[in-house]
Amino acid sequence: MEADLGFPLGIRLTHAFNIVFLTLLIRSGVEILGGHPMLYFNDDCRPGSEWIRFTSKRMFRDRRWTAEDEKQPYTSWVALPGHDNLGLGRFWHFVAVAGWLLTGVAYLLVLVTSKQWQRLVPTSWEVFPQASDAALTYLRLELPPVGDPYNALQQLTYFGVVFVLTPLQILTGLAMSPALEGRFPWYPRLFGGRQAARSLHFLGLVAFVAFTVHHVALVIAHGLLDGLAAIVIGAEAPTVAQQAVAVAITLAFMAALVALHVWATRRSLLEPRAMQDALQRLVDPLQAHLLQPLTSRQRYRPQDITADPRPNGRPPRHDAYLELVERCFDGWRFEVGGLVEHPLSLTLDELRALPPQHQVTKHKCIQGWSYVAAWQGLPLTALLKRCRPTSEARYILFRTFDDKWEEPGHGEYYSVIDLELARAPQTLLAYGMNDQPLPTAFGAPLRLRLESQLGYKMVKWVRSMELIASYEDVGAGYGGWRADLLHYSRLAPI
Amino acid sequence: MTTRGDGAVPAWADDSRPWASPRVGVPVERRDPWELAVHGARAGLLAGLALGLVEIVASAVLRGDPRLPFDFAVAILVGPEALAAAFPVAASVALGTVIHLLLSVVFGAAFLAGLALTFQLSARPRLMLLYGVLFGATVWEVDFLAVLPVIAPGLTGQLDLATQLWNGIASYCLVYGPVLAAYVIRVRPGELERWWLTDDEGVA
Repeated sequence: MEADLGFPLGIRLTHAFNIVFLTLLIRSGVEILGGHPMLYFNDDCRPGSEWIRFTSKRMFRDRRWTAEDEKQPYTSWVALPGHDNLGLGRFWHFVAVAGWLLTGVAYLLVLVTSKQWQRLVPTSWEVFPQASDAALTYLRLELPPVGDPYNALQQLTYFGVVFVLTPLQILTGLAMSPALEGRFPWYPRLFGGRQAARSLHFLGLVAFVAFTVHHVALVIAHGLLDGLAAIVIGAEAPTVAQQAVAVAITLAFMAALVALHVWATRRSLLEPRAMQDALQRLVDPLQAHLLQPLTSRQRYRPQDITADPRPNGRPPRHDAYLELVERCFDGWRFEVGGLVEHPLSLTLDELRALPPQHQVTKHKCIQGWSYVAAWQGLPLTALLKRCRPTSEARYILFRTFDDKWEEPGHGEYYSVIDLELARAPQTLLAYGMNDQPLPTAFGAPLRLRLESQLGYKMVKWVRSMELIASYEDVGAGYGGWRADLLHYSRLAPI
Repeated sequence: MTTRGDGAVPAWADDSRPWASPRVGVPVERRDPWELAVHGARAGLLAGLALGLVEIVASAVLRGDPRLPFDFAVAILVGPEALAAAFPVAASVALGTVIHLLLSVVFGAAFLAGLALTFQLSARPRLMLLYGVLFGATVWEVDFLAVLPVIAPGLTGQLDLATQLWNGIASYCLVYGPVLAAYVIRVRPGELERWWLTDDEGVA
């Protein structure tokens, strides 16, 4: 049967593409991990409760800090692109995911439309005792008899990687989508919660790396040249010339792979805007169609509320805001304008006098951490009914007091959201948190809550909203301060 | 919900608490290459002595030949003739001890280097023990599956299954690696401060 199976072109090509996309996934995954280099099995992410961390510092206990301070930039030798580029790292990760999934689908098609499935799928329970025998043979530093075509241990291992580990990585990756978790809150619980899913996703990465190391080691042990000839040019019982061709192609492939990584890294670091444009063109349509339309239906219990939630971003420092804080926001007005029939200017008391909405939801930061909190505020849809957007209005531009003083010269924080998202039932302008007035660290006097999005879309310290037809002329034209400057996506459903 | 019974503002909502400077934290690890190399060598020496002792006992029990570990260590350098009965015992013990401990020291330093490079010097004790077990398994795999067949192919057929299981699983995974980890847990080289919460501190 071994001679019958061989390695057809489809298997050989998908094997090569698998290497390309897996290496991109691993390096961009390391970049994402650096955004919050700690892993938990609890969704509160209490500092010190992480089971593993990849950073050399802890945060202060007697002073306030934000999750931005916890980041650990990694070198470009391991991370793509490295040096604290979470936005582009995520774009690379999602592009690689798409490529890897397409490769996987092609691989499965080859498996099921040929006899190749026999390589991986055990057809008898005898595979387990046979795998045990093979393991003991390896322990004796001997090679088990050639299988059909694999020995039982190889077959079980490959089966596990293709049909268990790979789906687990996809499913745990999806469990980190705030849109998916918002719409189906039970889904991450299948893995023990969002943070457990994140931890499992990381352990899956470790498993892939470990598998690759063992896989290569055993290919060497079984005969590197024959193995290369089989997987590269499909030659069984190869001649010396065929082995030489396979080695040459392998070396060329490895050189091209290294060149791809060097190119991707350098271009991302040197020309981030061009790379953002290119990657965004691939990723955003997928996000927009698959995840963005999902509507949050979260209903956490009061007892789920995180005792000590993490803030992110320091409160503004410019005079206008500090004066408002001094006056407990007396005199603050929320301006609603742009493409509306009735512009509004509301004080905090006037906002509070409108029928409020309460919701207990999970906040998910793009960095990876999360917390559960209760929010009180005004549904945005109620405000839209009052101001009546014109037919040209497609987006809402939120402007804030956030002067981003930690990164001077980059202008005030703003964000653009779609009108559809604004009309979602749990989209809120929150002025209260956990039965307290909204603290300054969490966005006082008013912040946005978009429960199907990552945290950076939920602007804090809001001063106005403007209905617009296009965001091309706002900032750099990418739909948000982070999209403009840090090369994030305007969409944040995952 | 989160308001305390006395009506006081909870810490997360207390706007009067001072802020730390941006991007600053409290270092919990220091990566001094010389300090880590010294500790790695010490840990390796300790673990190597423990491993050697266990292997001598195991060889005596399993094969009735306590000098076998020495012979194998020497054979890495001089080849299969070190396994011959005629090879001098004193030379086998002396040279074997030196080779074994040298390798132990090198792998000990590699363990510390790996921990430092991945920011794991301050890892929790249980995780550190796991690292030790995994590192022991890796050292065994590298030694016996990759290096030995290349530098001394004649030796690979000399080991029976029981010896391999003892060497591979018990000695390396349960003695060498965990002793390395225990040293790091006890001495905590490079660790400046403990960051993790313990069970009684309410870790989830």
